[in-house]
Amino acid sequence: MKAQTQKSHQIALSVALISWGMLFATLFLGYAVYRFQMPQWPTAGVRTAPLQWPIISTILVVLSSVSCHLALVHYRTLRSAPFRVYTWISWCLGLAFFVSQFLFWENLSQVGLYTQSGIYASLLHGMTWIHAAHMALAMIGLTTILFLAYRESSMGSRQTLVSHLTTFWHFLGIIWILMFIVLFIL
Amino acid sequence: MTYVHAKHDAPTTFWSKYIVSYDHKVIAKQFLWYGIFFLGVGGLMALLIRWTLAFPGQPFPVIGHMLFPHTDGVVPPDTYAMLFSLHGTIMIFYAITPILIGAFGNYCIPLMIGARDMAFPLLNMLSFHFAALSGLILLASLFLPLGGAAAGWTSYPTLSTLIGSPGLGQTFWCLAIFVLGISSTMGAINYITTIISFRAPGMGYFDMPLTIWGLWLTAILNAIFIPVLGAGVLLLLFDRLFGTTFFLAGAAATSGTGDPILFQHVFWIFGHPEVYILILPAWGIVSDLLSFFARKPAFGYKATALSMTAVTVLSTLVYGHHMFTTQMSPLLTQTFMTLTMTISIPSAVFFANWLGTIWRGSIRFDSPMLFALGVVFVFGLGGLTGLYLGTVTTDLYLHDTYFVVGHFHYTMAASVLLGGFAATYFWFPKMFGRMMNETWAKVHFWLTMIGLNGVFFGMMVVGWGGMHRRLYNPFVYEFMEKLIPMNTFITWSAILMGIGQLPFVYNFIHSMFYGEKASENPWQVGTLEWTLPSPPIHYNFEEIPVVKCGPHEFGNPNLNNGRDFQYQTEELVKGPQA
Ligand SMILES: [Cu+2]
Repeated sequence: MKAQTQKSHQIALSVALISWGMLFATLFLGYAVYRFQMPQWPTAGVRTAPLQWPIISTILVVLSSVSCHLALVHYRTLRSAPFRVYTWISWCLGLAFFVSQFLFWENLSQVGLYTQSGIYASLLHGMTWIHAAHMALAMIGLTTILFLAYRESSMGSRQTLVSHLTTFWHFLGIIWILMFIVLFIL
Repeated sequence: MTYVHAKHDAPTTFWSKYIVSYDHKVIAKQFLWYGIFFLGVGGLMALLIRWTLAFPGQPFPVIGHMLFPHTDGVVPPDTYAMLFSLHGTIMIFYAITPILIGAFGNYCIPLMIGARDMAFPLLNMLSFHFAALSGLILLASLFLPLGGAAAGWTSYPTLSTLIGSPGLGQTFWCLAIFVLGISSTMGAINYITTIISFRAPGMGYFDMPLTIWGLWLTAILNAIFIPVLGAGVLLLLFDRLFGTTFFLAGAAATSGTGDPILFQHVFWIFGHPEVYILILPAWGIVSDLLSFFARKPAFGYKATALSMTAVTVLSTLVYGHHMFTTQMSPLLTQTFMTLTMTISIPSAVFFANWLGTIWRGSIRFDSPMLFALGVVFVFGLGGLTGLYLGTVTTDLYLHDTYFVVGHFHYTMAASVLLGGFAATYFWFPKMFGRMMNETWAKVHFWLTMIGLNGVFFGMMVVGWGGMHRRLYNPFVYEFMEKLIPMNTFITWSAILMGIGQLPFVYNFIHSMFYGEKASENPWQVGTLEWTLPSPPIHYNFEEIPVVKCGPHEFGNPNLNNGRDFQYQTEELVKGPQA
């Protein structure tokens, strides 16, 4: 019976990730359309976005995915002390990601890439906003898990929640890396 | 591998029973009331639009002076734009979607597959609450200083940007649609999971009633394409709230322009599947009802299920036919045209199967069957007229005329509305434990059918004559003046159709309290919900049923128990030679 509950949760998660995937795919499609229409990119008279904060965000995303994964491994093997440590690390890295995002947006304004500064700036802002909103959702989930981590009785009993949240975290990490490549590298 | 919910006690307080219920049957009724309410709102808007087109400059009768005190009861032009925009939005997203998918999806899926509830009851409840929130946002937008959204149900930029639509109306619209999208996606996740993992033991995919097939395919399309619209309206929202320039073009954007046409692409990547999101449940319901009331097995059951699946797949590849006039490359328009035409093939397959099902059947013309036959008729007409719009050469002439309006009303409004009524008359006894009145139901059917065809056929005629949609007063153009009598006819038909809904409302409410008590199986049908008392107990099935035959076992000559049908829980009766 438990395996079957897990199976239906697995299906639900897959469908949900497809839905979210389509949301981001649409944004990437839009990006491609804008980009290929323009004779030059970024558009004339607009400077390229500064890279330092996105690079830091990317590093944080990768590290947080690793620590989320380690937390899950320890949760599965019912080792509560390392599970707590890695969940705390993930949480802090998540928070640091937000800090790096805010500094990135700040930085964009400093170099004159305001939300109103044309399509290049619109894409930089809009796509990172939507991603950050989902990161905020994931942070709420991570906070819940942090609470769970201190309730000894629940150790191991919320496998589905912990593993699905980890998957969601990885998913958002992958989206971020795609965004980093598409928006800042290509 | 069937997962089964544990039995649990029914809630007792009003709040837990009707407001925050986890029970799919209650959530279904919440969606039904929600949908019927918005059907009324959208219908009233339709009448206001029709009145303006038939009697320009004359005050709307009875409530006109109350609604438009500043113009002596005449619908003002800006309000007219808001009316047709919100009529479309409300009918599609707030009436048809909640009735067919929200109400009947919720009601039928667990009962027809032998489950005690949806896979995720909490998610199900949240889905309704998000829908309710979205409805409130949309209704609130009507009372804003500059009124609600007025850029059409498609909300194309640049009309829908701050330049074309100042004020908060369009912003509220985007917000409402986004929240509703969350609700629909939650529902879709639930439906897909439930159908995959909660089917009763013995029920393979090809033992499911076609209603479930339709709802399942709809849920899949919803899960994939609602987020596409979500992304589109989010970007539109950013343009309106934060000054981004995704959909602004030319001088409107300061440096580096956006692209208004991109919104059309995004909208129709979602929008064409949306047509099938609406119609697939109706197709499924009709496919079942035709068999149930012709007392014959569904002709070509597997072919019907598979051709519905084929249409679902194809529907994702044809959206460009909405954009032939956007300077699309001829290579693309012809590709989209060809792909669109291929949809006729699977459609023709299940349409022929429908005819095969009723061919030489012992047809019982009860109200659900009348409405189901109505769907067959109007969908045939709607489908055929779609060919003129899917063909580039004819579409260039017909684009944005009332021919389009007539066509999509036949497919999305008429078919789906009649399908929704068929479902309501059919499952009402199970939902409320009482029968609806047959005489009033038949009055309702004929008034609706006559009114509806008058309206929508009339629209195609004036469209063919060159009348454009969305004009406040088309008759300022001299060549349009000859179409005034036809428009008056359409409006009278619409009024007839409106009046025709009164017997339904009366019948629905009266029967809920005073209708004849329904037996367990008033229609003598073998699917799982009819093995239960009417209405079913809180967790549906005391024992989870074991399915032994298909949903359409009618007229088996080997049956000797006095019935002409078999329950799905019964072993298929074989002849002596077998
Ligand atoms: Cu289409």
